[in-house]
Amino acid sequence: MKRELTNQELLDRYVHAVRMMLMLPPGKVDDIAAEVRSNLESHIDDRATALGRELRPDEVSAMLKQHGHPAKVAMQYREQPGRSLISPVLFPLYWFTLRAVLAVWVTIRVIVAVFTLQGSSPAGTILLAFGRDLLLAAVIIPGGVTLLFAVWEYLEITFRCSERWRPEALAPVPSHVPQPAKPRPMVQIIGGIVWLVFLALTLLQSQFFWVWGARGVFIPSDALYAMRVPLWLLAFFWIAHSWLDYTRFAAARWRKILRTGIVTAAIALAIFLVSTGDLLIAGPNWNATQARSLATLNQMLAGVLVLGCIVAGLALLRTFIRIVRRSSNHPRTPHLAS
Amino acid sequence: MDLSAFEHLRLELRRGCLVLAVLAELRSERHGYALVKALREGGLEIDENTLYPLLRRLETQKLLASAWRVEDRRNKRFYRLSPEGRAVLAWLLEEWRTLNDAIETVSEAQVTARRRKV
Repeated sequence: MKRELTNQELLDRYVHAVRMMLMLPPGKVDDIAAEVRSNLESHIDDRATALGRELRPDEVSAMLKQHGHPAKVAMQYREQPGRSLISPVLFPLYWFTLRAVLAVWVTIRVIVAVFTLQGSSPAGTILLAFGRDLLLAAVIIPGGVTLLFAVWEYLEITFRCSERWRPEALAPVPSHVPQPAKPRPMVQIIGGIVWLVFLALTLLQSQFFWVWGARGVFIPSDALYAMRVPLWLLAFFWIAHSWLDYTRFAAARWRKILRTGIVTAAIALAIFLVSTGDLLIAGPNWNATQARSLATLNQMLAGVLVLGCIVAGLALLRTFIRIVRRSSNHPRTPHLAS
Repeated sequence: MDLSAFEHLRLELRRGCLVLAVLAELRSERHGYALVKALREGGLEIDENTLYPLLRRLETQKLLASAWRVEDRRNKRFYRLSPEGRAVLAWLLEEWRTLNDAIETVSEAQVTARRRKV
């Protein structure tokens, strides 16, 4: 039989749902969530004083329902109220999709432009084509995504969602909500993009690739070159994870699963690469005087990879110990946010 | 009569008045829920989901100042009018009285003209 939720749990779920739909920087989200909670607590206290007793969970549930769907509450903090093409229930998903599609498109187009610049076409023509495509995408992508969501809205799917919602059915508050410092995910995103561009420049060219110097003093080993796509995908997923961390769009649990997956895959890849031996080999423009620097460079690369594996492994171990400790300390008690 | 048109115009009219009422109420410090109750007692019903974002906007415009404090064992955010807010409120009240007088004059003039016709 399902256990009835307490007043505190209902309130926590509601505030958590508002938090998840705000899609604002973490500092603002915390502030707004605290205000929504404070307002609802004042409501509950006021009703309790008027009735001369504590409110029952069904009364708190009715009060939350009357207060409005969490998406609508969140929406009020984002835009002016009024009728819109995309309803507040759908808007966070719409906004996320729009930004994600634009980001993916721009990333791919930048990489294509970088590759084309290596070819024989004049740079001016390539840049003009890039600018033209950018302008077209700025119109076509938002138009297409908006049309898609407007049709969804028209089909009244969101109407049914918003009318039938119940506070009891809102997702429970995760047992641990990480509070990342605001700049950290942004630094991760920038680092990921730099890594992505570096990989594109060095490893993804099919015909000729270089690492240092003009056109191939040192070039990647066969093993490193063979792993170019997994490396690129890792960087891409890392940017996606950092973006989710910044916006807190996905639940903390899913972000943690994604992070654990990326770190595990990165460790496996690093171990494989180190085990294959030298990661850089002599290129077509290499000469014997550079032999020593090549050896040093390979030692440094291997050292960085081994050190990275140790640090990442320890971080994974710490996460694992935390999960075990938490589950043994609080077997079935849901976390109540303060 | 088109009720939806009336409703739309009424909402527009009330929106402007609400800002004035909120600023006037916050001459003394209040937390959000107390402000809702004070407005309600004064005859102005306001949707809380409209009020809180409005308070934030007024704070961003530096017309309000806010601070978190504990009251009755609860953490609450208290809002009050800032010095800039006080000045703006004075101007808005003056504007309100001017508008009110003008509307009275215009509507009175129309009634008098109609009576003359009759």
